[in-house]
Amino acid sequence: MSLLYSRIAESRRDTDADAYISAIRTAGATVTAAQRDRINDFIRGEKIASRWDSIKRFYLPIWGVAAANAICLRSLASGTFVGGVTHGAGFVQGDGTTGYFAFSSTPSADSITATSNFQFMLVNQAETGTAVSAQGSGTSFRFRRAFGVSSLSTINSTSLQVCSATIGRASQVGIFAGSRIAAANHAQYQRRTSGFNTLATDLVTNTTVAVPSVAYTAMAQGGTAGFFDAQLGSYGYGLGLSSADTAAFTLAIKNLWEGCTNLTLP
Amino acid sequence: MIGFVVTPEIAAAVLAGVEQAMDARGLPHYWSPGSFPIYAGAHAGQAFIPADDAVLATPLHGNPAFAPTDFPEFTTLVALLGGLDARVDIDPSTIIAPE
Repeated sequence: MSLLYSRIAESRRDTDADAYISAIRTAGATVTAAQRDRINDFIRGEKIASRWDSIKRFYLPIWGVAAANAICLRSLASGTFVGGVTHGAGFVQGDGTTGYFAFSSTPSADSITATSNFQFMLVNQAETGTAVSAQGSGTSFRFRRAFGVSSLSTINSTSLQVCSATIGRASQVGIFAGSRIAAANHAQYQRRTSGFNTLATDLVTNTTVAVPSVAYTAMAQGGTAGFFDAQLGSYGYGLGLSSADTAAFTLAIKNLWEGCTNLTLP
Repeated sequence: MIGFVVTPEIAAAVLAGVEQAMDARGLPHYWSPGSFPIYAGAHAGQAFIPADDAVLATPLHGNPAFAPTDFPEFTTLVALLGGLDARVDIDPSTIIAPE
């Protein structure tokens, strides 16, 4: 249960939450008291759990306005929406051909390392295309949906080494997370309302591929390929999280997104 | 896909104009229509700038939100592109980079 923001004691109101809310309101977002509660709860929760500093980029593009959707909840920096993107109530959606979002940062500049990295995306509605689609930075740090064969597709979570899971098209919703916490420890996870699962693990040692120094992009790979038209409610990256922390973090994202949008995670 | 087909140089000038419109207001570069190389077809070698009704109505900033068409710079930038009537409908596959 979320406390009423206006009744939260001054000592329990989070300054980072205040700053983010102020920034998105200036950009045009309408933020209700309930949404302020949820944002405050999320950020305080991540700080209490000691995960806040591991988050490097976190976007919550639910506000229906490009400028507000472009603001990073963690850094307050603004990325750039390019091409055809729908700014819906609770999500953004590329047109599958030109629309994407460019983070205003690169994994290497954000201190992502070969042995500690994490990336995630919240998919409210799966994409409709059959071509390969991707979110990420370069080819060594990304999510990639490949092999649209029949009703199945492979979701690759690449963190210098590929961690691959094959799931049905209808199941390509919820929160996907890829986390590497050691040279030989990389896993891919999925949270849906029905529960949290480890989709795949990869224990191959790999630290030789350089962490990308190109901008991370959502809804496409680099803005030149891999465009997809899924509805995305959140995306970002940071330092690696354990399985337990990934479970907790994705649950916090679920609660934040559902509480702010009144939608239900698939 | 509906939009403008122009030389890469004109596309770059228009995108710079969009950035300047945000700079002039002290805003970050939170939006761009984008410019996409055309790889195949009759317009191969040119640049494509998406500009269908949905793109031109993108809620950009403010409450209520302004759209690209609401900005004073819109008329000037569209004139560089040949005017709204200069928009064409291209095959989306022509702007997909060959692997």
